[in-house]
Amino acid sequence: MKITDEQLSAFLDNELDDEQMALVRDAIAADETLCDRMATLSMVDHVVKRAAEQATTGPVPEHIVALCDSASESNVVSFTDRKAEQTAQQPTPNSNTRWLRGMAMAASVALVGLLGWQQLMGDQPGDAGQWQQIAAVLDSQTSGSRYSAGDVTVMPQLSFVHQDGALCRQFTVSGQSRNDAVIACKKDGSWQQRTLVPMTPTNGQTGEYQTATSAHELDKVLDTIIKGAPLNREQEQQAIQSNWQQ
Amino acid sequence: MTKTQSEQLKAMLPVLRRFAYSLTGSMADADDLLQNTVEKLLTKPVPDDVELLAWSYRICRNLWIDEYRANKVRQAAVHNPELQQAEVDATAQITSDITLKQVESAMATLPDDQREVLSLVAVQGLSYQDTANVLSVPSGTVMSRLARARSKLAQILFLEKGTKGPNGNEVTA
Repeated sequence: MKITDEQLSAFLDNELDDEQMALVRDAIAADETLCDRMATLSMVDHVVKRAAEQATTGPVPEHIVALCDSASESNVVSFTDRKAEQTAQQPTPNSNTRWLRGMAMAASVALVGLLGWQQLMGDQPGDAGQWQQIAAVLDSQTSGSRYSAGDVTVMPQLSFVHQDGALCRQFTVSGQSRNDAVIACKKDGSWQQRTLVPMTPTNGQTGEYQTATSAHELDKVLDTIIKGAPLNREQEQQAIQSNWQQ
Repeated sequence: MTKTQSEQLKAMLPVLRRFAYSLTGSMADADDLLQNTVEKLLTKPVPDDVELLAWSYRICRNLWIDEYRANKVRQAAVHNPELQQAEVDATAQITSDITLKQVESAMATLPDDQREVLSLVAVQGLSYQDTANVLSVPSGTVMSRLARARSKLAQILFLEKGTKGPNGNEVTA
């Protein structure tokens, strides 16, 4: 029976089932050239791995290590980290803190055009009273904790500068009547909703929300409108003091 | 990303760097790819159902596909002294018969799908299933691509160069 390179290669990695492993083992015992061939394939791994190790023996550039370090100096809560927070039904800002730093993502002109226009023209908050209470939280609280705003709970997640210069906030609104992720920007002295992504319940279980799709949608929007890095805690506090005016 | 995750990422940098090198075939490109991978990781949330390392590989690989195969970074490195300093000695011996440059050249002949599989299994030590998860392909595909990659590199590095195989005999393909 002919043993192929594919079988030998997988044998080398112990990735065949027991029957195939035994078959190849017997074949190698009976045919010395198979052993030579396997050694050659194995040598390829050795050479490739050693080359990679040798080429990368120098230290990781400091500016890349610094990126990881600086990630711990911001105070931004991830949109998708919200899932665990909601499931726990407890405010756990520390465990859910997402530290965002780095360059703004390359903007998708098409997405900006489509989403930006739709969101600016529609989706205005329907309940003015509730929106005022939400706005009060946005005005006064830094990201990372949940706050009661009438019959809903608001959790500011991150703050950033919009490409048009406005200060904006991403936050969640949770309650019996709604569970949404929202981006709003302070414009002309008031918070204006720019984007709203509903979070749909999963299997009807209270407190669990299907975030994957909506998270990606909101992330895409955020990527296209954010200017620079999100605000850190100190910058958020300064923004609060200046009433979110640039 | 939590503080714990950023610490994990920091610890993973050497491993991720080797992967980036295996994909790009040069340290200048590898460090630039690594930097962009880290920036992307810090900006994008890690899915709940994916390990940080596997997620890092995916991000790195996707960036490589999107930006680096077109050799953009190589062109940029010419104008960036910092990146040029990352170049290593291409004449360094990997074995008594094979230099780093020869391995890089051999790796460069592989199709992209074979190169990434070889990098994940041979260099990173991932299982076929883990590799399949990273690349979103069936594990059988991993097996066949890997075998073809190994066969081709064996041919280039040992047979065509007329060097001896690991057992001292002339290697046959």
